[in-house]
Amino acid sequence: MLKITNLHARIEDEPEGEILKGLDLQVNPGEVHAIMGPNGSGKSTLAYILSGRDGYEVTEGSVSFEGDDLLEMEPEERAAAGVFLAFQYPIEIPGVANMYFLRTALNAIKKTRGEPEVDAATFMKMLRQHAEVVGVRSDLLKRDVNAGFSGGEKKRNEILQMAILQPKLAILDETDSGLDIDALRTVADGVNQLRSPDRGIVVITHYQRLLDYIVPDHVHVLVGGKIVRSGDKSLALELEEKGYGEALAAAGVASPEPALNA
Amino acid sequence: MTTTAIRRLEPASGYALLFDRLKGGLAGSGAARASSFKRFAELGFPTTRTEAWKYTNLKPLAEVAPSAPVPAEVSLADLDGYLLTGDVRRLVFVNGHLAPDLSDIARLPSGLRVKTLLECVEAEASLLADVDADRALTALNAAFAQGGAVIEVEAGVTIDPVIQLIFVDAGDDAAMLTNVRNRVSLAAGARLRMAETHLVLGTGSITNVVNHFNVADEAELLSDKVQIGTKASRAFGQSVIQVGKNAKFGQTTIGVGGALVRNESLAKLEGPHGDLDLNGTYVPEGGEQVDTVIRVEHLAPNCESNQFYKGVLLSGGHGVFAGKIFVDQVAQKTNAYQQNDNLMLSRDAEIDTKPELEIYADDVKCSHGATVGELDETGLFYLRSRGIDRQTAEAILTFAFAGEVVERLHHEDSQHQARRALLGRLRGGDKLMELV
Repeated sequence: MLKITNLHARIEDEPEGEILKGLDLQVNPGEVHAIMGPNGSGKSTLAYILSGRDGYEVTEGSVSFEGDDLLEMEPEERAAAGVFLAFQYPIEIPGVANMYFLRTALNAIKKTRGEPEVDAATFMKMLRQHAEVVGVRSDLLKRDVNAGFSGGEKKRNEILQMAILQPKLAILDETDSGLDIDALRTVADGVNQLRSPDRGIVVITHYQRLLDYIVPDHVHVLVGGKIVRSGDKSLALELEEKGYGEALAAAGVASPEPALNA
Repeated sequence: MTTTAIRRLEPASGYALLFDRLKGGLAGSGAARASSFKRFAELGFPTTRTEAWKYTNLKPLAEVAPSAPVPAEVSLADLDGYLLTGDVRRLVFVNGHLAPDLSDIARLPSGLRVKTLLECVEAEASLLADVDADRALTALNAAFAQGGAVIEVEAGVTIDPVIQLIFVDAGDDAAMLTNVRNRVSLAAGARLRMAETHLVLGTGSITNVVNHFNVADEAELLSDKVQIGTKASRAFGQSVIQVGKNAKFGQTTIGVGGALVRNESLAKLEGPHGDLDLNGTYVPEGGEQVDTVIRVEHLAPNCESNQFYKGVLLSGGHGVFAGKIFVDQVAQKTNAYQQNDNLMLSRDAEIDTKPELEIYADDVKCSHGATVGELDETGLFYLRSRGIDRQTAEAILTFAFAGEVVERLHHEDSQHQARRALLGRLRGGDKLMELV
C-alpha cells in the first residue's frame, strides 16, 4: 500500500539540514505500524511529507501509494486517494462550523472519486453516530472548527474526521500528546474501531503509552532521520524501559535528552 | 500661488450647469440651495495633498460633467434578495427620488414618524444645514439633495419594526449624480433598528449621501448598511453621529463593488457612558477603491467606542482605512478601541491603513491595531489535507475572516445579503453558497 524507499528530505529554506536521511518503510493493508523516536528525529517531518505540506524538499528516494507516486500529488489529491493525517496540533478555523467543514471535506473527496455526494440529512446521521463513538459532544459539531476546543477535544475531532473520511492510510502524528488517560482511551478506541483488513495505520509517537491501547503489528525506531530498528510490539516496551539512548548510540547520534523514564 | 489653490480641485463647469438647470425644481429655500452650491464651488474637491484624501484621487470626479437623475423603472422583483423580511417598514428611493409604489410605511407604530426629506424640507430648512461646513461633498449634497428619509422616534418608545431605507441607482449613465440626505433622531430612551441598502442596478452612478444620526440620552440605534456597487459606480457617504448620555449607536457596513466607495463617519460621544460601535468589511478587486474614514470624538467621560474593520484585498483592489480617536480633556475613563485587519490575497492589491489617537485626558484606555497579512498556510494545508481544493480552501478561510464582521449585522437577512455578496466575490465562493 505504502512504500517509502531511501527517502531523503530537508526543509526548503535550510539547505544544510537534512532531516530524513534514507528512510525505508513499507505498510501493507491491515497493518498498524508505530514509529517511535526522540524529539527531532524526523517523525513529524515524515508525517508532513506523506500528506503533502509545503516547505519540505525531497532530495532523494521515492514514496509510492498503491502504485502511484505520492510525492507528485497535491494534498487534496492525496486525501482523495485515501491518505489522512491526524495533526499533532489541529488548526482552529473560526467562522466555519465543524459539521459544515466535515461535510465539505467528505463531499470534495467523493466528488474527486466520482462518487455521489452525501446529502445533509444522511450526513448528519452518520456524523452523530461517529461522534458518539469517538466522544465528540454534539455541541462541538456546531461550533467553529477546533475554535476554543480543549487539547483533548481537538484530538478527538481529528479522529472523528478520520472516521468520516474513512481513509485507506491513516497517519496519526503524536495523537497522544496533551491527552489525559481517559481521553487517550477514547481516542484509541476510535482508532481501533477503524482497524480493518483494508486499512493501513501509522502511529507516530514519542511514548509507548498510546501503544498499550493501539497495539501495533510493527514498531520502528526513527533516529537521526532513519529507521534504525524494527520489531514487533515488544520493541516499544523495550524502548520504554531503556530509553532511546542505545538506539541513538547505534545511529551515532549523541543523546539529546535523558532516557524516557530516567 | 496660494496653498488653497494647490489643495482644491476646481469642479468642472458641468456642476454649475447642472445646478442652474435643476435649481428651479429643488425643494426648500432657493437662497439656501444657492448658498450651499456657492460653498461647494468655493471649497472645490479636495486633492491628495489634504491629509484625509491622501490616497484618494478625486480628479476624475472633479472633471466629470454630472448629469441629472432621471426617472427609472424599478420593480420589487429588481430588489429581490435585498428586501428584509419580517416586521419591516421600508422607503425606497430610485435615483434619489421616492418610489411610493415600492415603499411601505403604512401601519407605523405610534411614536414613530417616517417622512421624506421632500415633505419636511420646506418647513424645516435645518434638514439641509451643513453638518460639516468644510466638506465640499456635504455642501454639494445640501445644494442638490431631494431624496432621503426623516425619521423620528418619540421619547421612551421602543420600535419593533425594522426600518429599511433602500437607495437604488438605475440607468446606464455612470455620470448621473444622486444626492440623498437622511436624518434619524431618537428622543431620550427611544430604541430603533434600521437598515440602509444601497444598490446600483445599472451601469453606475455617482451617489452622494449625507446622514445625520442623533441618538439622545438613554436611546439606542442599531443600523445595518449594505452597499452593492458596480465596476463604474462611485459612492460617497458621510454619517454624522451624535450619541447622548447612556445612549448607544451601532453600525455595521458591508460593501461589495464600486470604482470608488468612500464612507466617512464623524461620531461624537456627547454625554457620559455613551457607547459607539462601528464595524465594517470591504472587498475591493480590480480597479476598485474603498475608503473608510472615521473620526470618533470622546467629549464626555466614561464612554466606550469600538471600531472593528476587516478588509479583504483582491487582485488590483485598493483599500484605505483611516480611523482617528479624539479624546477631549474632560473625557476621563474613556475606553476607545480600534482594530483594522487586512487580508491581502494578491501581490498587486493595496491597503493604506492609518490609525490615529489624539488624547487630552490622562485616565483613559485607548488602543489601536492594524494588521496586514496573507492567508495562513497552515490553515490552508489543514483544509487541503482533508480533500478540499486550494481555491475552495482559500475561499473558506477568507469568508471566515470577514465573517466576524458579518455576524455583527443585527438583522439576519442583512447577514444573508452580506454573505451572498462576499461569496459572490471570491473565487470558488459559488461552491460555498450553503454558508449563506
